[in-house]
Amino acid sequence: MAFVTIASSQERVRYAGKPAGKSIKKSFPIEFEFRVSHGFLPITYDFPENILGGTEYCDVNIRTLDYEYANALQYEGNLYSTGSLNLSHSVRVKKWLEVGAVLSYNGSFRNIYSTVDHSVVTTDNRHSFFFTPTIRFAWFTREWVRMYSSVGLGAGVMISDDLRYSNTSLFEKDIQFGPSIQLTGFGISVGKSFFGFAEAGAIGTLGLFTVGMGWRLKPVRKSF
Amino acid sequence: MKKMIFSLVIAVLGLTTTSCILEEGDTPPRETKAGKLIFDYSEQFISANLALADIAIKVNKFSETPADQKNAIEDRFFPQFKPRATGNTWALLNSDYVITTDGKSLETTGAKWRVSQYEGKFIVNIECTGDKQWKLTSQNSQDWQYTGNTDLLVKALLPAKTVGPYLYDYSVDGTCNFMSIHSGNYENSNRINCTVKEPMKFIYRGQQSYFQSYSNFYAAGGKIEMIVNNMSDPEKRDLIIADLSSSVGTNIVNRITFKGITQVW
Repeated sequence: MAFVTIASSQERVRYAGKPAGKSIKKSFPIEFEFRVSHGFLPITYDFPENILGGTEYCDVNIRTLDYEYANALQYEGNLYSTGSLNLSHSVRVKKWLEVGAVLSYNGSFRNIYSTVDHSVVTTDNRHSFFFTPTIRFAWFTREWVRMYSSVGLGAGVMISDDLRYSNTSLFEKDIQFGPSIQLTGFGISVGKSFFGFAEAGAIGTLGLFTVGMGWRLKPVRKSF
Repeated sequence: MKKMIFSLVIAVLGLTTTSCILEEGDTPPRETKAGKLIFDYSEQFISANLALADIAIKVNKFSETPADQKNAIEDRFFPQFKPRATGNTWALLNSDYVITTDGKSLETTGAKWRVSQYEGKFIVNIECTGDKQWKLTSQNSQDWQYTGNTDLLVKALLPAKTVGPYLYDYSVDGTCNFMSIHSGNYENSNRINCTVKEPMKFIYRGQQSYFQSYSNFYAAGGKIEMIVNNMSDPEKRDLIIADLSSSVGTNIVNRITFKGITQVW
């Protein structure tokens, strides 16, 4: 009897601060998530140049004889892009809220050819790295399907061959720092532990739309 | 756990092998494009100098025309900017052309005139060296895009035109050199040296506003050699040859040779 009383008292002590008979509010089981994805048409620091006009071989705005001559000696090949290759990790702290970060790489590659013999005289390669802390808001959650929106703000760097005004393929490295911003209007993930996902209605350094896959892990809770 | 990580790594590798063409490259231009460009600039530079001489020759004709025929000549050659004289100096009204004479007819051997434009920065000296033949010289003359020097021998090709806004086609011989006014002693600035190998025929291009400094003439015969000299590296020199000797009339055949390659433009 005494043991029962003591045990019962200890039970009360364990839940100290909680009146007897009240239900215990369970804390949200946090969930870790890892993602790998590919973003298409990311907005990098050279995005306006790529979309609007390509590369000029001159750092002045006047089409001079020297500029035109240098330009006539070379021409550009196709511009290839990897898109945005993303690795992300996030923690689901609420049913509707995840916080995490994305590490991204975007590369663009172009050969520059000689007009005279069509040999490759140099390359115009650009490498962008972004680190984007992200908050994801899930507005539809089911066992297998989640829909969400997200916003990210971080920093990035682009390392490129700076095309100086040159007819000798003289390049210098150019390093630009800047922000990394990603706004995602709609995202959907399908799966439980393993899942696939897609994001659209997005704009930013991670891509206009993104597809990928991921893995969720729920830590094992110790029992008392 | 290990399988999951391995799968993720494989997925990353798979994604890294994909890429897309973000922008199509240029259509490969003709191999002598740069040579043709230098020819076009050289043609423009010679024509800019020739155009000033042509103005002076027309002013001379106007000055020697009987009074009762002056209006017709004025309307024919100077429809917009009327020539008016003050002493030995002529000006085209409402323009910045100024023609300074030595009091002699420009058809008289030994006569020396000077034509200037762009507030006196672009100057061509004209000396009559024979019948319908003049020597054109300039030193560090500058217009809106070039600065350069000329030492050219110009001959009027007869017969003279009797109607229309132009008087003569010309034969041009000699040398000149020029560079962009934006060039300087920095990397990739170039000076172009031109040498006429066979007298070039320059034909009137068409009626143009006298305020436009690009030429009123274009090359329609002859042969010219041009050397592009890099101003910061004397060893960087490109040779271009333009051979227009196969041209007939206004049908221009221009064989450009650049870095060992010859193409017809």
